[in-house]
Amino acid sequence: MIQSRRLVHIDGISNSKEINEHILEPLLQYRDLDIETFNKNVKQIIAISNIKEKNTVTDILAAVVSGSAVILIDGEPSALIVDTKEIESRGIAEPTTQTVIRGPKDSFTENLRTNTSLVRARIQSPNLRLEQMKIGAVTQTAVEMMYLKDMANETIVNDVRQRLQKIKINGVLESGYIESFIQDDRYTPFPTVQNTERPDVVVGNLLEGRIAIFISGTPYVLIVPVTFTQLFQSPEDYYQNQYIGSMLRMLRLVAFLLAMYAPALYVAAITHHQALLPTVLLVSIAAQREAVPFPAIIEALIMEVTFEVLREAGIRMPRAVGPALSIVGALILGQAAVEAGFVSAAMVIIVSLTAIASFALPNYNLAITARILRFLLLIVASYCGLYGVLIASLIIGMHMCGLKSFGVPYLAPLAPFSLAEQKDVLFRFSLQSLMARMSPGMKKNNVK
Amino acid sequence: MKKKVKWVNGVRSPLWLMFLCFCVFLSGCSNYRELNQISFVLGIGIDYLPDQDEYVITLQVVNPSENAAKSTGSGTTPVINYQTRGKTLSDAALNTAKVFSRQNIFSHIELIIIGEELAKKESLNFIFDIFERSAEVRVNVPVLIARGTNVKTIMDTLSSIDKIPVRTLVAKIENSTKLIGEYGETKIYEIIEDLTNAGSEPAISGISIVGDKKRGASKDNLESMDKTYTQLNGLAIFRKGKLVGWLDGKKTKSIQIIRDKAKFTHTEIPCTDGHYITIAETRLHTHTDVDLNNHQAEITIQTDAYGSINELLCNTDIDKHDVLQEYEQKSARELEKEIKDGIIAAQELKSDVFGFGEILRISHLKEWNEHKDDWNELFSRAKVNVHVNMDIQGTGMRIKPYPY
Repeated sequence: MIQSRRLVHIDGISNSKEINEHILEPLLQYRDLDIETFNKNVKQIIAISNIKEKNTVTDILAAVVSGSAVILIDGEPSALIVDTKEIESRGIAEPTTQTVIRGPKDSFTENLRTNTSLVRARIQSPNLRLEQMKIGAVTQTAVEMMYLKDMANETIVNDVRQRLQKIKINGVLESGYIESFIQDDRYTPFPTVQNTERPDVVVGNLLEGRIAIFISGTPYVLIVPVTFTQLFQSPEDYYQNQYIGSMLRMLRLVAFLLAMYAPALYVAAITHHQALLPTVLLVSIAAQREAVPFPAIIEALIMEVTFEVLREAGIRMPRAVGPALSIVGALILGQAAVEAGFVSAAMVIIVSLTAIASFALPNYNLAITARILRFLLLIVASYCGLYGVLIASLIIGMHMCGLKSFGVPYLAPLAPFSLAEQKDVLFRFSLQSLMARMSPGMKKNNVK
Repeated sequence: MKKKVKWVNGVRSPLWLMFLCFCVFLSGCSNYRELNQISFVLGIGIDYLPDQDEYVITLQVVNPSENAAKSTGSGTTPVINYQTRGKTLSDAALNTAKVFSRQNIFSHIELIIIGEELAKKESLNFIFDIFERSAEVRVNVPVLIARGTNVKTIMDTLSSIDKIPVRTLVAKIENSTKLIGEYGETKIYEIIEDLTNAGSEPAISGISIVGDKKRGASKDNLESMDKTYTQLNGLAIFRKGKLVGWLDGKKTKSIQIIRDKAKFTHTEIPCTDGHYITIAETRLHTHTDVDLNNHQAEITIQTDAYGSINELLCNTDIDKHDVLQEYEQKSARELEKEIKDGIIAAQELKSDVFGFGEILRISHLKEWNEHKDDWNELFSRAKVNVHVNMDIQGTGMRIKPYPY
């Protein structure tokens, strides 16, 4: 009597070679065995480690669509589910958005297992914990949170877990989906969740007691909680000596302020506070603006919007037309517009300064914040000058004081101020003195 | 669990946000002015017409296109001067609206020139009120007196390297204070102080014109090598706010030295055969004491200076200690004489432009209170002792002069 046996798997998401060699081959080899012995020993015959038995259609279907091979044996109440998942993925490449000069050159990929292994390879500690869950009613995307048990704050870990479990969504395509569900204040322009494609950044943050959230299908890993000062840190701060590390950090703060304030201050100064500018500078700016047909604010908005368009086009356009775009951008905007007298050279300088400054920030998230607030400040500045800039800054400052990221005050350790934690804020102290540190704002009593 | 900080909750309340938004939106654009709708006044000339009892002001506004780094102008004048009249200075300034197409911004004023007519016939007593009262104008602006010509002619004289005439005037005062210790920069607030204090009177540098006035005011002046130019000329001495006379030449030095503003100066002393040598004095430091006994004021001035030999036009052996010492003595006497000459000239005009009265007030308040009303009289016959202590420290890059 021949027993009917079926092997079900979906080609493309399962490893065919493994199925052939370690499932089909042994099964065929022992097919002449009597049915009873065969059924008893089938798990020993199959040379694959992860074998489960499931007996509902739902479970079996779920296993098939996730890439497992299912062995159905006539007369048996349950099916054997053999883990043969293999999703095509690209290899580990260099980071494309967060590059450094000195530091590791690997970056995360879309494959969740590769990503966790990149981190595990760097932290060989039994305290490194990984919790798995599936998010997305339809996509069933694997999401894993990773933390160091002895470093991370229990309250925050529980908080993160709860927020992740509460997510109700059909599909998770990118870490941004998760980010928007778990962040504390969904209306804030400031990033309260950090993302990175660098394994060393994740490791560094894990060591400081933060929690990493890995999402299948994206090379970006989320890190929580986030403080404002942390967004000015680049991994390279710690790889080079502390002097350049400190210097660059302050430079980035200046760049952030420039990216936010430069056009606003310029417009405020030339439309409301001419007395503040030195005479020679004022005369020079006045000479440039003599024939400009627009008010300063319109001029600023035209240039800012044009730049945003140029930047957007730079991301979208096919690589091959890149040079054409830069020629058009530089020549038409930079030169022709000034020569034609539509905009003043000073305004072009200010807008370019803003643009360059926003690229100097290590976190793209933060650059986005500066980009949004720049327009707000610009409009207020044109309406009521420095007074308006002051009021708007006050509103922004108060908003930041009120922000929290998973219970940690966003401005910690500046507000609430903690002298002990200033070692890694504006200045990067030597690694020796940073040893045994807790990251800013992460002290247990700091958490709400 | 940490207790919630109360004001953090407050931040989240919409009331705060509303309040701050109101702050922004209710303020309006009160001082909103586009750069190409305004003009920058760099200099103000003030004069007085006694017959009509009216003030005439001359505003020097900059023509930005002519002053740009990459000139966008069409070759017109770098500044525009225009005159208006009024019963008060602000009346006159506001009347410019009738003659000029742009709104004036007074925050960048660099110089004020006062007409001789105003200084002599009217007085300086009240004209600076507007400068202090207005929030827009700064009071650290230097003041000059137009000497021998009217204010507008001075302001009209075009200059070459620095295109803006009033800026060249400011630079001239700064240079002469810094390099030769003559003609100090007198600023508005200093004049106000001197006018209000009973124990001091203002002294303001004068400015005149050298050359053809007509050509100075046209672009020809820039193209010709025989230029019409402005020159600092004397120091106007005031008494009770009115111009009473001028100090000229080296006498102007004494005010700068006594007020301890001069850091550099130089003296010429005769050597052997009718030739002179120049000694530059540096690090000048002056201390003044004023005493009053039996209606007789005594002024003691002690000046310390370090000197170096700048130029030697005769053959002397300056590597000998006693020769140098002799020069030290001679230059000290020369400087003493220059200081004293200035004081004597001021005494003749009965105007204490040095502020000796102030020194007396600070050191001997009782005596001062008794005599403050007749101080100018006391000053004019005060006994003056000047002592200069000179120390020649250098002879420059060579010691012996040639030919040996």
